[in-house]
Amino acid sequence: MTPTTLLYEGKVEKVEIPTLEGPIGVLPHHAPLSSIVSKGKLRFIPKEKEGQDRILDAAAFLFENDYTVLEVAEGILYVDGEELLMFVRYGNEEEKAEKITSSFDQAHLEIAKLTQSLKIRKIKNVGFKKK
Amino acid sequence: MVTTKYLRSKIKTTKSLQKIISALEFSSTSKLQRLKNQTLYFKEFFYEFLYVVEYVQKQIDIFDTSFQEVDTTKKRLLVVITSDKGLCGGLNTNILKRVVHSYGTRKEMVDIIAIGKKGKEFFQRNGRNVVASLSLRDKVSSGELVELYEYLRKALDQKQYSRVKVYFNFFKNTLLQVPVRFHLFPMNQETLDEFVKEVEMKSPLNRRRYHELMIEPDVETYKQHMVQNILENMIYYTVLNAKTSEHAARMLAMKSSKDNCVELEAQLRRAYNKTRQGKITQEISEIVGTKLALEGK
Repeated sequence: MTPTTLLYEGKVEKVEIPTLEGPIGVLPHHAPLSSIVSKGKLRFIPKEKEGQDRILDAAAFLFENDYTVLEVAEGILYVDGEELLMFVRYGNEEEKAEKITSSFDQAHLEIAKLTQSLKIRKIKNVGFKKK
Repeated sequence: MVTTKYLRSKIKTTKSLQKIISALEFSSTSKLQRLKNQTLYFKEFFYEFLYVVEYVQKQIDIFDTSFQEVDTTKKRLLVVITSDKGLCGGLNTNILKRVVHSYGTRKEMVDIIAIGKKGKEFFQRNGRNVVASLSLRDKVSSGELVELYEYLRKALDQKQYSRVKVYFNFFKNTLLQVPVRFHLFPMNQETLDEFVKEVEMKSPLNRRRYHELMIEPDVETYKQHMVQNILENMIYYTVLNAKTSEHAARMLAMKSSKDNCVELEAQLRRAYNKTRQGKITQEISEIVGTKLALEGK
């Protein structure tokens, strides 16, 4: 990914994804699955605190307790136990996150955005070093 | 005979024109660079997406869905992507010519969605049925295309069209932009492969180990969403390409007109100097002539 389009890079423990049938939690080595992502909040827990340092565009995220939250819209989800890919069409009018890639084996999650037009939101509970 | 005053004003005009042209060239160059990066990134995104499509395709035929069933007697829909502004060489003309070449005599059986003002004006002038038009900012975001996606989804759900085609300028490199047409709907593996070939994306490699996937919520809904997602990603990619082409073409057009301006200014300066010198020589000879005449007296 190009640096300008990478939103997050770091280790994660768990990802919660909104799908058509309700939110699903994905842990490492999840059974292979493909589903439809619906509009909602993607929540994940960074595995280590350093992971938060890798947030490249803080304006896109919200922070709720342990969770890091990102607004996503409809798209396709693909998990094969080693890798998690999300192809998100567009965010709502304010948030536009387009692609989320995670690879559990490498303990590595990449969130990349397609468009640059992210509206800056207020960030409460800022527990990380802003770059 | 041309007066020096007239030539002076001409030179002034050429100079100010040169400034405007340079400004346009610079703005196009910077926009082109940004769009090139955006396109490159989206290409990577789309490539990954095609990976997954190919992977899922091994298990189920995504394209075999009721959403894709069409009534062949219905109209056709053309999505034509042009620029909003002119001054970009033959870019718009090429694409519009191609549409006219294919559908010149069959006006009533075609509906058009015009993205870009130039295309909209052209089709309205020619009495075509423009069902929707859209003008995009230079900073293209997929959010701007939501209305188009919704329109397409609705129209295709109601089986209004038998076929959808997209016309756009493919950005090969800064010097070369090619008008391209591809079938968007109904979609099958061949049309997808054709698109991949047209836009010079390599066919995805199978780097993943094959596992049987669970499909949620049910196969039919999944297929429908998948087809819509492919459709939308294809449109977004073409729009990005068309915008990049527009700026590349404008940059080139402005560069050549700037060169012409410099040449014209040099010509005008030569003519001005010649006229001025001629005038001076004439005045001197008149003075000398008068003096000689007076002495002879």
